[in-house]
Amino acid sequence: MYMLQKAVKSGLPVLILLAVTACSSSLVIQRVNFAQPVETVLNPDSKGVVHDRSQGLDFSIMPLQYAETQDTSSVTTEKVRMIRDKEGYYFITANGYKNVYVMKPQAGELKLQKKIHVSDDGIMHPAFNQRDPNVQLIDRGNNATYSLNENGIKKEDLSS
Amino acid sequence: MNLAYKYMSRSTVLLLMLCLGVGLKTSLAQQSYQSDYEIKHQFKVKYDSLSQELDSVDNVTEAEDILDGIRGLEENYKDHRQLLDKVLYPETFTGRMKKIEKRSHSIISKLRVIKTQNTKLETLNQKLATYDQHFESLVSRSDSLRQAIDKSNQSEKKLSGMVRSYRRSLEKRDQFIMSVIDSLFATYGNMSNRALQDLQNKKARQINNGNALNMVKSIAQSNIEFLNSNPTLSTQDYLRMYVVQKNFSSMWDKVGPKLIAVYSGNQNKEDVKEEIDKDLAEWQTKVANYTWKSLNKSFDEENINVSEFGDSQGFYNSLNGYLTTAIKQSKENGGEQAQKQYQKFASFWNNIVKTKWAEYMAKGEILDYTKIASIDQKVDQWSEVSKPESHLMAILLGLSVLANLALGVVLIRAKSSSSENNGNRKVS
Repeated sequence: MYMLQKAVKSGLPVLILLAVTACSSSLVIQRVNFAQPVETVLNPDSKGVVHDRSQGLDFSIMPLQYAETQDTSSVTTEKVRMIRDKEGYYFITANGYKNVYVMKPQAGELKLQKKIHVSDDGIMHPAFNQRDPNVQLIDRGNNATYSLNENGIKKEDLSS
Repeated sequence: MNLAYKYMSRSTVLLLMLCLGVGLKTSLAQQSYQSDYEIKHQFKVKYDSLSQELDSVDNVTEAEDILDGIRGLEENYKDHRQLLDKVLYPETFTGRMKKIEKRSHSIISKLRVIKTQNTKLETLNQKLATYDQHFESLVSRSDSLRQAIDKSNQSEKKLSGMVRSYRRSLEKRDQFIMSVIDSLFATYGNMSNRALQDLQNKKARQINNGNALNMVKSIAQSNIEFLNSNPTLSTQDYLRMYVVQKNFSSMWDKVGPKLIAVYSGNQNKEDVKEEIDKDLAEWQTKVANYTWKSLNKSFDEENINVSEFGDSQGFYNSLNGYLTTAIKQSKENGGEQAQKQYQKFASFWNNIVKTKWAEYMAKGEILDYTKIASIDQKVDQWSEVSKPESHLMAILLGLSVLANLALGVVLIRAKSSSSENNGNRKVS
């Protein structure tokens, strides 16, 4: 009886700890490169939803349009441009938007990671290029280029 | 001078470097403002456009221009190879360019074949256009000559001259048909299906002159009309016409479907084929009837009583049967009558059948050279048995016996006179 009590006192917590540790450990794949080689250009449907068939991604652009224009009465966004960087963040903008939205994918949602302000006048003809380790934003309206990551603009306008 | 040259050289190099620097900066700047998406999109648009052009190209020059375009596209986009390799995955930029270049080479080589065949066809069409006129003039010349002969009250000499011209004219007409057959065979005999389809789609509607199908119809109908006019010709003429018809039908069997495909236009192809098949069958029946009738008559006129025949096998059987009977009779009875009968047949066989008809008979598969050789053997056999029996040997034998007897008598006499002389000497 004494022996059992001693064993319980000394070994059981260790066993419990090991069992809990084994159950809670998860499989992790590291150093994943999510980089999309070329941006996706999408036209929203009448409800403001874009469908990226190549990536299997559908979402509504209306929250971003609201953030830009504070108006969701109609779909005014044209040609949504989107690219995913190495880390897996989505960089989204559209013609005339002032900002680039860095969105982090989560279960059933895209959560804003960073709103990068690019131009007060709006980016007239934006396009994303994958330039490892960053994402390049170009505005073909004014020949400006920006190097972006999930934290903001890394390097200012090369042309200026 | 050297200093000036040095100064100039330095300034030139500086100028060049400045230009290169500006150029490089511009180029880098332009590259910076270029969207990868646009590069991918433009490449795809240009590639698809070239691919579509290849689908519809129909001449070698245009196809070669497209190939130049493909090479230009490869040159213009080779700097974006890495990007395009990614976006074209699982294909690669090089793989795609090779694929379209290979396809363009294949199309160019096919178009070259079609071009050659088109050239041949053009030549044929020109020929057919002139043939058409030539054939009509030959037919009308033959017809007018025949009418002139029918109505002629001219002297026998003049009439025979007209008959000669008439027959020459028919010969020319048949030679002409043979040359049409050759031309059609040469053009359509080995034509590929792709070339045929091309002609069917593009050329047939443009062909007004030199329509080969009309030419075929015209030749068949003209021959039927000619035979319907109950012409009186020699067996040799009929045999020649038999051969022409046979070759014409053979040509039709081989290239007829191709001619219909190219030239029938909007007409129902089955109907066109049926119509021409019907005409050719009628032509064949008529010319065969005249040929067999004429052959039977020729043997009758020579009093060679072969049994009547109406086809190739029947003709051979008839000759064979006649010779078998004749040989048997000669063996049994022999005599001068059999000898005369043999001589008559042998003369007709050697001087007319083998000399004047054999070529056409072989070409028309009426009597091939094996069968002619077999008949020859029988004729030789008949020759052996029909020879009259000779008494010369008996006479010679008799003479020889007599000569021997005479010699024996002389020898006996000589011997006896010699013994008498010996006896007299002993007594004396």
